[in-house]
Amino acid sequence: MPVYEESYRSWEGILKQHPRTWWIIARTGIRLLWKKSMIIFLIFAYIPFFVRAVQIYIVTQLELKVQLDQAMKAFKINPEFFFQFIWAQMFFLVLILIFSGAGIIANDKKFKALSIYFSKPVGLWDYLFGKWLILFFYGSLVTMIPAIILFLTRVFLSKDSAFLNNYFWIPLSIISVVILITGVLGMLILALSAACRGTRSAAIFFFTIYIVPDILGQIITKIPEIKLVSLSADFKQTGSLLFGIKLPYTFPFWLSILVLAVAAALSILTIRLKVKPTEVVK
Amino acid sequence: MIIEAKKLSKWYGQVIGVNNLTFTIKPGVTGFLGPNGAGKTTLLRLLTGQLKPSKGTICINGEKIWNNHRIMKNIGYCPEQDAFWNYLTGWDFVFSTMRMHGFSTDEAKDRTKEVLDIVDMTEFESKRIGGYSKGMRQRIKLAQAIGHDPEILFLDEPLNGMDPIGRKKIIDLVKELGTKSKIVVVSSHVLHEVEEMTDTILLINHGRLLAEGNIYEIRHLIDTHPLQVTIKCDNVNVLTAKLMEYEDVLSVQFDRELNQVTVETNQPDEFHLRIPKIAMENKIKIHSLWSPDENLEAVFDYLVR
Amino acid sequence: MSVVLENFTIKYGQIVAVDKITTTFHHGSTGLLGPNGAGKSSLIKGLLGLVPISRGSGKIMNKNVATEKKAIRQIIGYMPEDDCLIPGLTGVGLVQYAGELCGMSKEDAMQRAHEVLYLVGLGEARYRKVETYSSGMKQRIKLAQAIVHDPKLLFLDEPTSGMDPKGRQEMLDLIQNIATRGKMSIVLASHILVDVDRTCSRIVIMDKGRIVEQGDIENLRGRFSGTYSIRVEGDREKFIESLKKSGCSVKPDGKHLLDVTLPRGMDTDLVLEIAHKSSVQLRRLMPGVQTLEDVFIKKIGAE
Repeated sequence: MPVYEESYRSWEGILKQHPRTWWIIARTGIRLLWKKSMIIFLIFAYIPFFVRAVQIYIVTQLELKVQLDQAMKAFKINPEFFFQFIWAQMFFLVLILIFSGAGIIANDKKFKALSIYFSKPVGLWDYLFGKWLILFFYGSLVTMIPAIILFLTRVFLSKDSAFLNNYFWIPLSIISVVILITGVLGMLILALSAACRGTRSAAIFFFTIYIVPDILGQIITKIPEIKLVSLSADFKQTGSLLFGIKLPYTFPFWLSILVLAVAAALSILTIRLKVKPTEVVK
Repeated sequence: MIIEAKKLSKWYGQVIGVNNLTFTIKPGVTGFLGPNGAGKTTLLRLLTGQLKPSKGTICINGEKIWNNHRIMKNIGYCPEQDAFWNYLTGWDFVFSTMRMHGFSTDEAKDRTKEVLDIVDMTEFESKRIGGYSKGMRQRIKLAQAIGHDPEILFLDEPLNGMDPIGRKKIIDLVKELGTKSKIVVVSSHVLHEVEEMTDTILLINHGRLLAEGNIYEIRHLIDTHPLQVTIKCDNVNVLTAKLMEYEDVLSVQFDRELNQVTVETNQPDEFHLRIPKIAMENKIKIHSLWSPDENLEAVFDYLVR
Repeated sequence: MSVVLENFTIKYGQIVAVDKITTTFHHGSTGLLGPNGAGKSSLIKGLLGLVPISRGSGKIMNKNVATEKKAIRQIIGYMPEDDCLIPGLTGVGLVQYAGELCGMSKEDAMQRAHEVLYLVGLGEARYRKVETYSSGMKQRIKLAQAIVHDPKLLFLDEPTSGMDPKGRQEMLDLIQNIATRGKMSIVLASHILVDVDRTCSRIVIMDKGRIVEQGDIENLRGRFSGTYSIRVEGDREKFIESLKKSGCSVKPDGKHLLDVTLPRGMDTDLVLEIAHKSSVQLRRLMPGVQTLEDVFIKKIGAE
């Protein structure tokens, strides 16, 4: 009978050749951020969802079409409905991005967790993508998921396939808009989390960068192009395009796309500068 | 000059920091030891006047230390923590410390220059502390502790982060300061280094005093562990047989391969006195003789549970 | 198990951090020594694939350091000097996470995490969040996350930093255990020469980007320095006088020890005879050997 000592034992297992480290990082990060306060937050974030769901129910169940068209024009379930819903959720989206994102890299830097990541087979892009996925998850939770559920609700409550035939592409729009917004804002908060000295400053900077240009645009009404600087406005412009509804601003949509692309690029550049795997070994 | 603690106790709410300590520290180098959480930081703070005793007294030359700025001026403290103003340069930091001790601008300049030279930081004095390596920060901490030439010096892990050359320099510096009749108290976990600096120690655990004084005396007093003595020689078997004849030799561990024998004796004085006689009478050539458990590590091990 | 470096060079712009190093680290435990700025950390960074190699090549177990970075990091473990935590995770969670990042399956990582945590001596504490750990525990968890995937090569950077004497002993014992039991090679970077002496069989001393000395510790150190370290109790003065009269040179080493150099042709018998005649207790008689510190200072301190 073999006798085992209480000393080091080798491990005979197999390591995966190319582990999907971005997924492991995302999975663990999502779990770490999930707190009791998150549930309370989500309850509030889903109140508009429930209101809208009721609205869909009313609209699909009531036969009074004539009154519908005139008196309740606002209640029409069309692409604009879905975009407006997502737009209304932006408030919650920004909040949840700040909450989950402000410390997401700042904490790793503060507690020197980068030493753990980069001494393992984790590349910089694995790390970033994994972190972004965490933000995408929580962002989707308050925008994409309820929007898609509303769409499906409308479809299942339909009496015929008219809605589906006309608007089957709406889920694609929903997904692409959410990816666009969480992509740009996600990169931004990641960049701030990496560049700022702490979670609080990252949060404050994010808030400032998002709100201030918007306010500027609202004050300086003489030059409508000022609104280009506001990420919020650019999202609205591009989002409207993706939903096939009337663009809210006069400037061409591709300028908005350009601004968003530049914002994302600058963020990624900042991240590359500020997250230095080489600092792992002193 | 003398530091005296009499039934010194300090507690925080219900948590006891140090409990009923009575000891004296005389000029020279004293090693201050204890496991983590033993109360070392509390005692250091009491000794440097940062904390007021809850009970009992701690005095330097009869004067209480707490809030006594006149005495505190004569104390140098090199803490373990690394809390700095990172935007200051090494020079600025030490210079402002000198000024705070009350020296004129000119004198402060001279002292800063001198002390930065002693710790080998002249080359980096104009660089910001934020960019310093761990060893460099350590040297700056040391500089501000000795710059005002205090009579009493408390060094908490002074060799942290320093390379072997720096270590040797600081150890030599500490030994030198000790000979100049200053009181130097060095706290460290690397017992081997403490042994190089002194053989006088102060050992605490759980806030209580476990041992005070010379390592050899302390070892002698730990009678629950008879002294081990290892002898390497030719004809180990002959020596072993001879040693076993005496009653004070309690156990024998014989190693033919290494040509050595380790005995335990409860009468170390007699044992050591008879060794030369036995060796000569039996024509045994002894290559080396030492006590594996008469060092700081063994003492620490036996006393700290 | 083996690291083969050929003209291994790392440059940061104009600054040469590692200068054309050609050597082989064999299986076993190697101490990596050198003053601050010698290039030790740059060397480790280069081997971990964290910085690009300017010239030359490096191979770890036949994997090219420049092209197979991720594969190499799967077989290397790194225990950093600074504390590293991921707050919110428990001890088990952290080590499991580390294992998964290396490519272990979730279940394998969990099982192995517990095994390794047991080895490093984290009992119940493994279920607590890591931010509540004491400094000794933080060192242990750092070691645990470095060995969870059973690497072939383990880098340890100041592993006993901040630990109290008992903790240091345990950590050094652990390292010895891992080195002898596992099939792991160890590279230990530390300023505490006693630690290196205790756990390593070979050392490599670097200075200014180059290797200035390397070899087995026994060979480098074991040369007899010519003097004996002696301690006596009793009539010390008489003893010293008698030694001097017989032609020895006696130099006090602190309050208790004596450095004694014997005259040519004499050996320890002389000391024993004089001890007997002076009726002193012979408490210590040790041939002085070059310590690791001496070796180090000779190679580096000459500057």
